[in-house]
Amino acid sequence: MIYFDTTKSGAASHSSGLVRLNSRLRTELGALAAPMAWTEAARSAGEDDWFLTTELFSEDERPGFGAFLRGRRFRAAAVFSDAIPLKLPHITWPQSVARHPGYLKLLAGFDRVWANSEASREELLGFWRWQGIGSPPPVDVLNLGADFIPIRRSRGGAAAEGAAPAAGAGPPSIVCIGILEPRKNQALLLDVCAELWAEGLNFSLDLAGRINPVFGRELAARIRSLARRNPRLRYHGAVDDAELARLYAGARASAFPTIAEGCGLPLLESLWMGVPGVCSDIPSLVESAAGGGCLALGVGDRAAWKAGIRRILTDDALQARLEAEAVSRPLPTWADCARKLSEALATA
Amino acid sequence: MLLLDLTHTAHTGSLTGIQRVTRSLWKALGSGSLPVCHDPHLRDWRPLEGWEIRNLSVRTPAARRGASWPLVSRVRGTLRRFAGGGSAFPGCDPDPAGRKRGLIEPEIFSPAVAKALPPLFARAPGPRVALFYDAIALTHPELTPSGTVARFPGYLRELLAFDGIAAISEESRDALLGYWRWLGARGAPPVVAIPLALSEVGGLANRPLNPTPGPYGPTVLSVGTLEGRKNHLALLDACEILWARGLAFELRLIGMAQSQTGRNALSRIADLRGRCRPVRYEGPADEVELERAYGECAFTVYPSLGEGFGLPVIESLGRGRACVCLGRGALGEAARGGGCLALDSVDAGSLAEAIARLLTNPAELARLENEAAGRKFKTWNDYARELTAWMDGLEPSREPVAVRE
Repeated sequence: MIYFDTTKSGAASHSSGLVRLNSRLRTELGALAAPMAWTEAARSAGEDDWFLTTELFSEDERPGFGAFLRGRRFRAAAVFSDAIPLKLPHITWPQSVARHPGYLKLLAGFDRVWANSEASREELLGFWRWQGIGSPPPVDVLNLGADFIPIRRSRGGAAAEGAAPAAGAGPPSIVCIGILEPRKNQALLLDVCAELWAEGLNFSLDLAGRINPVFGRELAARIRSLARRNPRLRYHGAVDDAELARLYAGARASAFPTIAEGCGLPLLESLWMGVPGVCSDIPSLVESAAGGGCLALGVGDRAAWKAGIRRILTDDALQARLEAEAVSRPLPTWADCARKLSEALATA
Repeated sequence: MLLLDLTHTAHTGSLTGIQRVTRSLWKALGSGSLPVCHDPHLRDWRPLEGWEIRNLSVRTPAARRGASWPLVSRVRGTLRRFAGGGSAFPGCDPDPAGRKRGLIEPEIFSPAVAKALPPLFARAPGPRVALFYDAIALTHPELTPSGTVARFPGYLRELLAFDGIAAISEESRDALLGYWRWLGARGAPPVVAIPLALSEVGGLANRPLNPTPGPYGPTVLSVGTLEGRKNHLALLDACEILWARGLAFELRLIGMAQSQTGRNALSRIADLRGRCRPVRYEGPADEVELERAYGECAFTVYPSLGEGFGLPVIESLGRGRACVCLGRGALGEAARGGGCLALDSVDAGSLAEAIARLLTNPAELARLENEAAGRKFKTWNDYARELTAWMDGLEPSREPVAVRE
């Protein structure tokens, strides 16, 4: 039996990559996994069982968790997302920064760890080496699912399955999905789009995502202010998967100017919808972009982003080629992800 | 003229390791430095005032580490701000040899000070260097107060803005460079290991003293803040093993207790005292009392799991007292020259065996004391000379460092 940790995610009301990872993996594991809080797993799990977590934790948040791991009768596995709180502490909640070093150290006490990209795997192993962890557990890469919504993948496949385009017959749309915060770097996109609009390029920019309550307010205010004066800029707030599919269905391309990601699910989800992705060339996104359908641009390079957005909007041949690549390339699904995990746990 | 940031030190009576370093460095630099602080009420940098200078010479440690700004200073700073001006600020004129002099940052500065560093840098044209103590908050987060853990990733990034870093040991130098490599920082400033000096307090340095056994037998002394990483729990357990075995000695602990991570040690002390075990703990001690304690003890134990330097080890050796400590990392560096019983592990069992050896084997203790007495330690004047000589060779005003996100 896999005792699937839902200590925190069981009560999560927001949408994020971590929440999607937890809920989709739990769903796809089906009867193999029993969702429960760690305290319950501590009472129930035996030596043939696995405790599997995708959550973030610390001794402060879970008093006794270290002892739970050290004195366990069962085996423990974890999915690791990223070390961003350590890399970007100035734009991360202090509680998250305080949690992360201990979280990474606790992860070293698991039997198996999966990272959501080669880049995050290297990040974790590098940090353990620096922390002086003597014999860390094996860390493998687990490709997360792109299929946030079930569709038949083909050109216009999403529209065919009922996701009517949000943009209708208006100008071409660039869609940008992600929480509004400095890390996602929507400010760069706004700057670039403002210049392109000023130069006469006709397109719309659709932004969707909740607002980081600490670091996103200023950006959200700027977006709302710009949107009042420019109807081609639309902010949709936090959207559900059906609305997300509708936004993608009407998009010419997606933009992902982020400065740090563990995996970058929105890029994979854009490709799943057959929508080319214009993304930063950070290591984790370059991994996803390598299979086609993407235009990777220098992270934070305003000139490159301006040229790249212009190209994707005006170069029909490029857009068509990237769209064809996006539609035809194999993409991991959550079922694949759960299968890989469950098979590995069964044979370990 | 060097600027010396003493924002925190000038407003606390605490005498922890870092405070002792900053105060000693200030004294050693003498008229060659201008101590300054970032006044949060003025919202600008200014030279220290008389009352702040007096705080630097405090000899009796305060019970808490935090900074305190008297009401009058708060009002004065606020009024000055509204009056539109900072204080006269001599800046850093070139010295007679024409060298531009810069800034020394000896504190683990706060986020507010970090934000205010650019205007301070603008007033210090020469090299700006920071002292670096350790990265234990990130290597041992489980033993560190959560506020310190939360501060450290940002602090280690902010150190990239300096022209050079003087780490207090090879261990701490390697830790910082390793972290920056992991972070992907390109063009990081040079980091050099300049080990700290030994304070000459009371003229007792290197003079062997005859220990004074108390009513419970010889005294084993341990000096250091009671906090998670200092590992007092293992020391207390080790002593309990020996008392249960019938060995007669007193354990004396000196140091303030960290409110979050020192709680368990305090509770263990209370438990042992409740069972009439000879444990003596009276909190931090002033310098006179500290000297007396070194004089009276048979030897010292520094059970810490990890340090940037391990000042109490060399302070013990400098007073002719053998020290039991970990033989790895920065403590291993301190132990390298002799006088220490350096251990592979500082668990309760290993500590108990080491303490028993020194209590029951006078020849071994005497050998270690001889080694300690033969060691030469640099003074704070030596340290200040070494630091400023290194600064003179640094390239000031480097290009900003790029961090690969």
